[in-house]
Amino acid sequence: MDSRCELIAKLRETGFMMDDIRLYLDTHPNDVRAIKTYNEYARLYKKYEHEYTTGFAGIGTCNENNNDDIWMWNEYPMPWEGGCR
Amino acid sequence: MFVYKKMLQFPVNIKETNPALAKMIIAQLGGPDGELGASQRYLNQRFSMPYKEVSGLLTDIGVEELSHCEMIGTIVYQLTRNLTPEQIKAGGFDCYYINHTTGIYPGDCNGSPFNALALQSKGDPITDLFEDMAAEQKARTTYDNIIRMCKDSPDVRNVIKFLREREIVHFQRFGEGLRIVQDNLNSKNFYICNPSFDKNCGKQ
Repeated sequence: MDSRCELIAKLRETGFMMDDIRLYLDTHPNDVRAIKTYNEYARLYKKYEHEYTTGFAGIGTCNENNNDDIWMWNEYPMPWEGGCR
Repeated sequence: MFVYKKMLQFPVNIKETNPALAKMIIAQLGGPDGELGASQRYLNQRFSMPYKEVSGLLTDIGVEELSHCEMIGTIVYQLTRNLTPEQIKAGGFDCYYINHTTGIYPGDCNGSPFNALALQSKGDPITDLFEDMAAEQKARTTYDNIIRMCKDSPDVRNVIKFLREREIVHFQRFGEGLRIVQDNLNSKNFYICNPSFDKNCGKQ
């Protein structure tokens, strides 16, 4: 399993591809090739998100670990602290 | 609605302490051409935008600008870590420090607080999109100026270059949005009515 920073980098990179293609699709909603590419990145993102959540903590607010004993949202440094490349 | 993800859109890892640079960069949070103004401009304009391609675009770019606000705050936060009083004085950071210590406060590089007068939401799709295209160019120029000022700080420069590129992409998208609005209007006279307000205002 990747280190936490490696997984964050993968989430960030696939997430950014989705951000960029999303803007393009807003003005070109009929470009099916772009939709397909977006969906490929979205699937990858979900995969990395699942790995991050099971190995570390939720990146979003769903607390996907669903661990009833530990509130993981506050774990790990806040994004503005830096530390991961 | 809004959901937060606990990561930055682009990494920020600045090892140096540089309050003079921080003082310049805060302008892109609370200044007239900064990310906070951009987010509020787009997120408020979208309500009266009648074409879903463009209201979707305004929503998505407005949200991205919020994540850029976060990045600017992060840059300023990291550049002002471990400050000594001597560094505060030498960096011209003394007045900001008096008022905010090293907290993040949205203002321009003179300390003028964020002002919504820098943005407009005119309720007219053509007007709003020209406002948005101008805003992106103003932001791009501001980033050009910042890049010239941080040639010796590659950790900072890389982040600023990313933010600058995004402004250029946003400009392109808003141009496409403008074309979509015009395609939906009377091609003999775009200004004959305001599709956000007037009834039966569309292609003849």
